[in-house]
Amino acid sequence: MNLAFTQEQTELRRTVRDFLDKTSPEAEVRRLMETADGYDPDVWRQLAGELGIAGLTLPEEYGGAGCGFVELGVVLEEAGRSLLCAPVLSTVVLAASTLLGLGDDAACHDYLPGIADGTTLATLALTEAAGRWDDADGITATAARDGQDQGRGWTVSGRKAFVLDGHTASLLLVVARTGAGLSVLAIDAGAPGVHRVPRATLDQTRRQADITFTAAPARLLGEEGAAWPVLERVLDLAAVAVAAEQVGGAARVLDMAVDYARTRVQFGRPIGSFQAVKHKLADLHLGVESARSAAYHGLWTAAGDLPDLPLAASLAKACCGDAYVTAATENIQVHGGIGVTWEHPAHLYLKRAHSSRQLFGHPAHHRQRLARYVLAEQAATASPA
Amino acid sequence: MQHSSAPAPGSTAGGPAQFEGRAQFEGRVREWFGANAPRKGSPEDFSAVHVVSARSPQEYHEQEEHAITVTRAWQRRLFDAGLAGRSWPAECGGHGAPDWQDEVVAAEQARWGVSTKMFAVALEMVPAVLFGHGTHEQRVAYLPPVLRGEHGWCQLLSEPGAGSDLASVSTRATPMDGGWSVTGQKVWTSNAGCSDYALLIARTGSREEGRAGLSCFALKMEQPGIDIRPLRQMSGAYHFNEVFLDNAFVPENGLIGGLGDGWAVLRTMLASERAAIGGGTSARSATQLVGLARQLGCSDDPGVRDLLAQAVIRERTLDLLRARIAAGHTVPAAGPTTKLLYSEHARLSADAATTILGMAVTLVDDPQSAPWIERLLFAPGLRLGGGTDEIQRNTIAERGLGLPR
Ligand SMILES: Cc1cc2nc3c(=O)[nH]c(=O)nc-3n(C[C@H](O)[C@H](O)[C@H](O)COP(=O)(O)OP(=O)(O)OC[C@H]3O[C@@H](n4cnc5c(N)ncnc54)[C@H](O)[C@@H]3O)c2cc1C
Repeated sequence: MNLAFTQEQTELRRTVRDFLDKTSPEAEVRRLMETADGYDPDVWRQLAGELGIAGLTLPEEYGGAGCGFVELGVVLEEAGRSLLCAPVLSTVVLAASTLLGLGDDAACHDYLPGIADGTTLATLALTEAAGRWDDADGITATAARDGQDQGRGWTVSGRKAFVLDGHTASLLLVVARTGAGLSVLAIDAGAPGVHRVPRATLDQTRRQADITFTAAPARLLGEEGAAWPVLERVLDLAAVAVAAEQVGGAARVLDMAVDYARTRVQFGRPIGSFQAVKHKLADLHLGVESARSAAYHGLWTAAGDLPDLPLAASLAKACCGDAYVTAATENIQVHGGIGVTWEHPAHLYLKRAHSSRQLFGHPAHHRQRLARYVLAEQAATASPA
Repeated sequence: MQHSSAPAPGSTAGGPAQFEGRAQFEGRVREWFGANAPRKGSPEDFSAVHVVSARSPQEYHEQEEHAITVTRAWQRRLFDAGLAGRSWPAECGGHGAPDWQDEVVAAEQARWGVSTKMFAVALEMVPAVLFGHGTHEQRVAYLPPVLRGEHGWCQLLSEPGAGSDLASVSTRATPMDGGWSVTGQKVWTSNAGCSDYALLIARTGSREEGRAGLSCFALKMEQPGIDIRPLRQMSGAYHFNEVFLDNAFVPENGLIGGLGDGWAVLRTMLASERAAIGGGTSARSATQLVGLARQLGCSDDPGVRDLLAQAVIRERTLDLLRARIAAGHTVPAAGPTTKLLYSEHARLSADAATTILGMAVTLVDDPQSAPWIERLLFAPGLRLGGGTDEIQRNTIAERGLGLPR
């Protein structure tokens, strides 16, 4: 695998960074944290329109740019660096990948162009009260045919929790159970029987909602009962995506800590000249570069549609989730008292680090999964000699 | 020993282009290794000759001689197959091919678990130093025998009073007729007893000049003024030595770089050493840990699985980091970064093995635990040799991150 960025990808990074430096500086992040919706519709329109981010990985026939996961990763790394408050993960990663993965042409034609042009915000409603991403058997929401619409209509009932951007998404892709197994159904967020409760999130830069469905009218996507394998892949893609975002955040807090250590003077010298501080930062550097390597490998694996995506996803998520939390934690330590104030941005990154570590499986979960894959891999292949 | 009838991958005769593409080269290298790499358990198997411990310096010396003989023979076969020094210029015995070809060969060596590690100084540090600071005559004289597996090299740097602080080296080189006379004491010299030459750092200026008073030399090891005394390591191996130099002779053309340029040469040498250790064909300890857990039937234990996964994460991310560096990504202080990650990986994996092995690790004569005990006792040295972990962290912080000294 050749992990070199193309010139276009490097240019994309520069463009996105310039854009986010202007539209997502700390003051703007703090302003949006206090708003009800938690994102800026104008910025989203620009991201979708001028930068083409919303449709970046969507095929051209649906109004997308037809790029791959590496490009999306570049965007997410930059978004993580600036704590961009926008529905990228929910709409572009979760919802769009689910729609594409289900292979329901009609639904793709109906929904994806709206996602690509920025007019539709969408999300995946998978998790329930237990907050587990991997527990297919634990999903209790149900779907039933309702006889309406010449027998093609469905209704969904149940409670979903931890739904990313569930308060603002207009299109909800809901995972529900029928006798045939798990399916994904599209529900208009404004439909009767949909009740959304925004939650107060630790990370105010990324919101969640609880959503209750009471016989809400729904449209079955793809084949009934066949959703889980598709969702497993979506979750792997999401793990890789969030890993790229985590790398951006982790690298940013390391920069922050290094800059501070160079300038803060105690005992007549910069604190960065003390070895205790130097060695802490050197260790964070190891963590960030390891995490970046794992995340990029995940991106390239996803882009190439390679069969070891589950392994690459767990490697990336396990590594990046912890690296980010460590970097964000130690950044505060290096800053001393100012690091624990509300005024200082350090806590914003710590909160993002902790909440994103939980998304799509904690590192401890991914380590178990990784071990399972590696054990199976070794059982299957003899060593060359 | 079975020899392949497959064409040597390095041979360009009859080939359409001078250097084929990566995939094609990889394919040919794989094929050659498939036919020629020593089989596990065969007399040429490198893992079988790996020097573990010895009851006496003599016994160790015999093992070392055997290991070096096998390494020389293997290096010679690589050379004959056109696989040695792919990126080195033709007049130095190489092929002038792009750097990635060396990586392909190294990766295949790692895959087969065969190693030229005993020749690491000769194959990695010597060319770095000579291409960076040597004369054309020195390259042509010293490099081809290295590629042919004829000359092993060691490094005479550390002294009792100069470890991390190499600027305080006090071994002295005094000008004499036709060259220099060298007197002083070196210590921790790996493989001194089986090396033909040494890269030597000695003082040619005054003590007060510090690093500006140092010069680098190529010293022939077989001569009257050199006394080598093996030191026993905690593993039981006599891998490193004290070397006493008493009017040892270096001819005029043995000075590498200018007089007083020793510090610059040393920096090149240490950088290539770090890159070699951090970027080299590391032992696949994660893979082997997974195998160990399977053999012991404890691979279903969630705690064990977590240890395995952590080892896999360390090993794969380090491999991927090397791949990124090779692909041209900017990684601040890349050498110290990979070296430090590697020494941490070695330490933590050996520690994980002790958890998985349980009581068996208390027995050196248990065949399952023996290789892990070797690693357990080897890991502390990895954290020191080639610059200590602390020195690597200093370098990362100061040169990589730009923190003040
Ligand atoms: C297995 C092995 C093989 C070796 N092979 C060779 C060889 O072939 N040739 C050769 O010349 N040498 C060799 N060495 C020597 C090696 O390079 C030195 O051991 C190493 O540089 C440390 O020097 P020292 O042992 O004198 O320890 P010291 O420099 O005395 O260090 C002792 C402790 O103090 C710490 N310390 C020192 N300075 C600082 C600082 N500035 N900041 C923070 N901490 C510091 C160190 O990290 C270490 O923990 C080998 C060593 C080993 C273990």
